[in-house]
Amino acid sequence: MKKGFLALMLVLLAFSLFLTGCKQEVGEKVEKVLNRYVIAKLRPFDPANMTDEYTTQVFGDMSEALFSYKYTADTYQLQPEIAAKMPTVSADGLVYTIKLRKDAFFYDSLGEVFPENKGRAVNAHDFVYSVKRLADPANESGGWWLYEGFIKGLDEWAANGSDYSKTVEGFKALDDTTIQLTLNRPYPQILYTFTMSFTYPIAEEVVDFYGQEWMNYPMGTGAYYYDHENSIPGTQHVLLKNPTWHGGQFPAAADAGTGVKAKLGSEILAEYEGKELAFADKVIWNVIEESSVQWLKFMNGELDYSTIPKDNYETAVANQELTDDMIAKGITMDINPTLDVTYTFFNMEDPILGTNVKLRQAMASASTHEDILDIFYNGRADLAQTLLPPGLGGYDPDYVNPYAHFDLDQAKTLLAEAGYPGGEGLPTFEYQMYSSSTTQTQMVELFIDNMSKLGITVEAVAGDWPTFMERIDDHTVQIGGIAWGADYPDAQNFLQLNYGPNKAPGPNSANYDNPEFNALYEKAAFMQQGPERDKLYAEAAQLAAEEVPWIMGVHRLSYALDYSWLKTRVFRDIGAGYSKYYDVDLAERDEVLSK
Amino acid sequence: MINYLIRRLLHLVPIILGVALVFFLIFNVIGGQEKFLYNILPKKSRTVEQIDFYKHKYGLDRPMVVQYLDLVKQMVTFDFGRSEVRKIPVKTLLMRHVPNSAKLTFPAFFFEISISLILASLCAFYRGSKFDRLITVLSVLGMSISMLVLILLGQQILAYKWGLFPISGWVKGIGAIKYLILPWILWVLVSVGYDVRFFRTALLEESHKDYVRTAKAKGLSDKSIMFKHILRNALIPILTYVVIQIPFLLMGSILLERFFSIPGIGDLMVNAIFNYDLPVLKATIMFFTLFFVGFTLITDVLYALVDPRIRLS
Repeated sequence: MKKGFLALMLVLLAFSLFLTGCKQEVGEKVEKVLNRYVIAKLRPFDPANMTDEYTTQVFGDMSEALFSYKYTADTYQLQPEIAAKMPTVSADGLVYTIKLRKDAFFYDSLGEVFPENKGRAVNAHDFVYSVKRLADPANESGGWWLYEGFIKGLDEWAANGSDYSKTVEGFKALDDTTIQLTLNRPYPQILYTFTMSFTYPIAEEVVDFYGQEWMNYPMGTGAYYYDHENSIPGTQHVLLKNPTWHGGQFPAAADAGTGVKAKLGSEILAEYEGKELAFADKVIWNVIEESSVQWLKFMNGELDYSTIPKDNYETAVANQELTDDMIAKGITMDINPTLDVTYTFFNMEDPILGTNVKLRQAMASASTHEDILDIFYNGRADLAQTLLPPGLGGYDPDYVNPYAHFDLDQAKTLLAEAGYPGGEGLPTFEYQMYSSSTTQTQMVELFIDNMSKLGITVEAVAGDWPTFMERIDDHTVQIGGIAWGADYPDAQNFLQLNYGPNKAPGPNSANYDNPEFNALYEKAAFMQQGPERDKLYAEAAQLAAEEVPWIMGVHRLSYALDYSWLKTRVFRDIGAGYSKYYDVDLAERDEVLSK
Repeated sequence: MINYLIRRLLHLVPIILGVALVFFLIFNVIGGQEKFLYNILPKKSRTVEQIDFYKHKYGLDRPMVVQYLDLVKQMVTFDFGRSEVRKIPVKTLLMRHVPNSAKLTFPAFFFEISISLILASLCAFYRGSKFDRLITVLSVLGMSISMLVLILLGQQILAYKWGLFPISGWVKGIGAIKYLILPWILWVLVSVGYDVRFFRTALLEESHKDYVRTAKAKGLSDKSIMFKHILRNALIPILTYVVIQIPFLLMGSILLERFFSIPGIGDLMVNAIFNYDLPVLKATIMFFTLFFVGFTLITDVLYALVDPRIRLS
């Protein structure tokens, strides 16, 4: 009977091999398929609530915003997308006029809303409608914070019943192809917000046709459209080339930044210059929630690129270099800084922690920053000196924060100067956790251990993310750890985390409120881009760094691996819609996989 | 029998009330309301006014009793409205996900029970033989390895290194079978040890009964005794054991669904928890409750059918 069992297994195996071995018929067109992935299930495709990176990435391939980022520039530079050109701005920086292109069409693959698939051209009214949706309380928008208080008449429109038939003075269509934006006060960062998924245009007809379920029927003007037949939410999202897309070309080689040139190489840049986008016929976004599966699928050639999961780091990288096995497979490594910062914050309203800068400086100096970098990030990060990551205006590469490296002697001296030599007289502090994950537990344990060496007792308080957030909002978290990723590439997006009026429930979780910092922020944040503004940003960032409302953590680095057949992938930390720039060499893929 | 069925169905009333109460205590009283609101409101857009607005919108500012009765009503009518996240009717989501879980678990369960029963019968028949000892050792070994370890090994060795199966994935229709074979094998491997041990014990226990000795004295062959008498009588505990496992099948596949990207109901429930999608969560819990109650009822009825000595009244 054991033979029976084995026979059964063999039958299953044979069947599996048969199914997996089915090949494409001779003469059938070979599709150029791009295999990408996300590590979490997608949320519905509603731009007003597109708060997560993964849904944004997938929807970004199907939709377009007014502006996007130049693909091959090293820094984040704006370029028109649905806008026909960059906007004209009034001298006082309050009125923006944006002209739209006329050849961007909503593509309806099902032909239900717009018969014959080719929808109507996107127009200024679609953008007005989409921005109103952000303001409308009924939509529970996660993107409203971007505009709240800034656009003339929009807050009032939302407060007075959100009547879509009424015109909003500050955001209106002058005609089908012209948008006029009027601000209450200067907000130079607003153009960056028009690259974000929150502002992707939605056709009102789609919302009307599908009712409440409309966000399950993504429809945009992008290079790809959603293949409803082959997509399985939770497993894979399949996108096909949009036949009505207005088109675009790969950027000129001369426009590429130094970093991009180093990554792609001059030959590739020259070869692709001016080539018509998009390259892949199909983009498959695999939903892979387990990092072990992500890694195996990458190693099996089922994904064209991958980040390196923590557990597989040593398999792939030795001494910051790819291992020979990886190189033999034609894999290359791409290291890039990300626009983020991790930090441990003190509640500045705490009667002890908030009033004693020496105490905070002592605790920051007693933190084993370098160990944290090695243990929790495998060295794949840079120690943060201020809250500003590299790549943003105001980041000063020469600045060294005296409290952002481990120095126990300095910490002891500072603690004595704070009035608590050896920690005597201090109460037990509470560190609020946001999860019980191994990493979070280890991080908190290390912090507690570090503080104990200084004579300070810290206790961990268990909690999940909502509890953590709730307690931050109640101003009852004494010490906590968190991270922030850029929404747009402007230092203001980080400096707002220390701005007094943004205290919790705003993004200033530390409740730091320094009039000097606030004045610098208010002056700089509303200035147009330039060296003078960057100087103020730097000054504000360094001021906050040395007052230590936060113990600085790290700016994480992205370590990605690409197969050699993936020709034109460039790392972009923000923005979306980049699949159209990715090309795959099918012959090379077959050759590598056959080995 | 009919009286019994009616009585058992009436038991559903306190069960539903109890399930609703536990759910209500966990999600509405102990802190679920706040968590729910904090999760639907991203940090960057959260204000006290907005939280109050949503509390009102979702009826969370009503008296607790009213909220509880509302939950009971939803559970009784099985009308949970739409998913808070996807805005799709919850029933539609269940109808999409339940068949996928069924495709994963029921064939695997069938294979596993069949294999276990055959192996256990042989072990009992050849009790004390090398074969019996080998299977016993392998069973204990199988019981000692967790599903997670088997999944990781299966994907690493069978799928990646040997290329026998896809690592993970799913397609609509019959093509999904190729993605199911490895999960089925893993299911069988992880469960067969427990079941072989249990079935073997049940069969051996039966073989010590007086009627077996009598049958032997009457000169019946060992095969005839085992397969005509012992197996039949041992069916009662085996049947109970098997049927009672069925409601857990859908739940038991959560790990497999997650690692193999199978869009099943376990995965749906886990995501509802992560996203605080309360309508979906309520519906899946109610679904499992009804499934469980239904199958315990079937077990009892089958008991009576298999063993005429048992009277349901």
